[in-house]
Amino acid sequence: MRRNLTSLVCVSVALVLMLGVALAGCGEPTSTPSIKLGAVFPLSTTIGQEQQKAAQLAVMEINSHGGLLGRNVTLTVYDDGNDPTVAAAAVTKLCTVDNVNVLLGGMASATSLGVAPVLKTYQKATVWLGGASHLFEEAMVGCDWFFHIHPWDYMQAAQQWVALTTVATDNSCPLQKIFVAYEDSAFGSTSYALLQASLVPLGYNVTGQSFTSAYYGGTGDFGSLVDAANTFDPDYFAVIGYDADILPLLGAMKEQAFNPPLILGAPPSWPVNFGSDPLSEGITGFTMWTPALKDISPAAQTFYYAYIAEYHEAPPDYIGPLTYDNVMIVADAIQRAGSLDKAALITALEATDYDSAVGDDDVVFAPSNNITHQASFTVKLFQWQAGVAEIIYPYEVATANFTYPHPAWPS
Amino acid sequence: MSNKRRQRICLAAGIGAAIAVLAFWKPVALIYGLQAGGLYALVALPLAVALGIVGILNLSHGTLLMLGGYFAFWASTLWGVDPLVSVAPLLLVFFLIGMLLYRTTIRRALNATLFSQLLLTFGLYMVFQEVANLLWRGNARQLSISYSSASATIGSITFGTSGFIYLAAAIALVVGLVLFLRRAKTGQAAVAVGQNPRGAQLCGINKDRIYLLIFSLTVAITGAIGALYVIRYAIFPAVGMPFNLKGLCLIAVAGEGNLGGIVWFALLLGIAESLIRSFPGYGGWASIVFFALLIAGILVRTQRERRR
Repeated sequence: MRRNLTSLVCVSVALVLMLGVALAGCGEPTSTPSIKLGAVFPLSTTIGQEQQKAAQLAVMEINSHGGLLGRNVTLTVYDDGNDPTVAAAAVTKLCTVDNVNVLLGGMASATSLGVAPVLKTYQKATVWLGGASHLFEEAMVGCDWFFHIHPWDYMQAAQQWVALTTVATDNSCPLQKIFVAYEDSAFGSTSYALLQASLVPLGYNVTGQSFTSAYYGGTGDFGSLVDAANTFDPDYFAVIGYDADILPLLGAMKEQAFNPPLILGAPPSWPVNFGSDPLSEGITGFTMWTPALKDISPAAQTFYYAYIAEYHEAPPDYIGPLTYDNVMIVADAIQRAGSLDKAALITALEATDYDSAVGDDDVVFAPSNNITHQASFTVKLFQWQAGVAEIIYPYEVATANFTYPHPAWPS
Repeated sequence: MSNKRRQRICLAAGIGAAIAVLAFWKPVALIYGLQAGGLYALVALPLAVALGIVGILNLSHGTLLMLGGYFAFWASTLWGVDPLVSVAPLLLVFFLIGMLLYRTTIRRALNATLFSQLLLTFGLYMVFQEVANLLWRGNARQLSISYSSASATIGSITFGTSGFIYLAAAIALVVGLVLFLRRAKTGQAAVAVGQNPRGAQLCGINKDRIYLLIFSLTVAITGAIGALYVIRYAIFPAVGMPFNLKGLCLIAVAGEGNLGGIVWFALLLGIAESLIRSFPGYGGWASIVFFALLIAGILVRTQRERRR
């Protein structure tokens, strides 16, 4: 009797669940399946979370305007764990299980390199944002379905040098003696080696000192490094390190009254609330976007205020607007292609002409050293002035004039 | 004069001469080396006390420093409390955290194998770090304190002075700990428990209470050091690991109960690293000093033990 009752309860529960599933299915419009975009971001990091927020914002905007081709857009995001193997597995799932129409996203070069074989296996239409290393570019040679957003490392270096020399010439700043404080992992060491290799043959006096970043076991002692730089007496002092290293280094410079005419920092992201620290005044850097661009670019302004309205915080970095652009470029191409056919999509992407949220107008895809579809985003020189990261160069998007030489350290 | 004393005088004279040469040759490196060494000593001392008396190698030590740093950071950011003022409340708060940790986890692992203890404290390390990651993200945060980049000028050299906080605190801590362990009754009981737990228990000392007190005290000191740390440096969830490693290295070189030795070796490490960093192009070699000191220390100690 008791056994029969248990069976009855089990059968009832199963029936209720089946009915629930069936009813839930009724709500979905079976005739118009959504357009599926797939992305991987390093979700455990602040940058990855910003990417996800910006990408979702773009999708929400697209859907609120009726979607694409009369269909809703869905974005499936997986965490790449900042790990090439995890990223490769995530992209495999996007291609095989989720069967997305277009792949996008990505962040670090190492994870992008790990994903390259998977991209080549499935050959989906891909508009990849991440991976600035030329090694990733070399891995994607001959892939006509592959479009890349972020400038390659050599493109960034060239653009940065043009920006710096142009601004220096226009403001009569000497740049002959250069001291570089670089962190000793691959990021800093490679950048310093590239800088030396390109500038020393041109007659520049370049020297540098490595340090271990706080992120890789360093303890933030910059006293001796600054002493060495002070002895060298450079025209231009560059820091290639991470956000955790910037303020302790500037603090040590202030302590030793070492105030070179030009100080440039190149961290992947700046410390939280860096602008509110008095030591930030007059520090220059390179980026693709700063909030100041909202005052001169309508596209940048639209993105900036939409992001704040949705998330009640300002986008902390250029990677947010760039990810938003990544989704919008795909959406624009799908709309113009009129279908999800891969060949039509490639043709539409090749005809891209897009006003971006990072302030660059008329972004197009053009060949780079090794691939045929590289987006024409530009790196910008900016300077911290009264707590705001003001764009200095290119002059077309400049939001302030360059302050030179570096002001006296705050007392 | 005994042979041992003569050796000590020779060693002290040698170190004094080396410091004098350095003061003329690379004064800035010497100053910053002393400051960095002070910080290393400060971090290593509570770790050494926990290991020497409670017998636990606390791998979560660095994350406790990080949590103390975050407490001080937020107290300063939200309510304008100077990190130096945060030291006193942090001592109390982290003492309670230490008691909680001891009661809930550490006590259960005291009789376990070293491997189990390491796994436990490493687990705590991971939990604390991930909690910090979830709460405050991985980005570096730094306070803007007026005296953090204060400086002084002697002759032609200008140098930062706020780093001397670490040196002063390390000296005060080592003196305080030595006095406590030698003079105070509880300190003497703690030393007895550290040397022979069973014998101390037979003499009527409550071993469990001593363990609780000493472990909580080391956690309290570590949390308070976090407040001093944020005066000069950026804080982020993974900030503690290098200090864990340096602390362990110093204990291995100086010996478990040798608190004075830890301070000397910490200063030596700080000065050596700072000296190497003062030569452009050779900064990368500074991290090797740490391993060189560890290997040399272990070799010397092994040789000594063999002779005995």
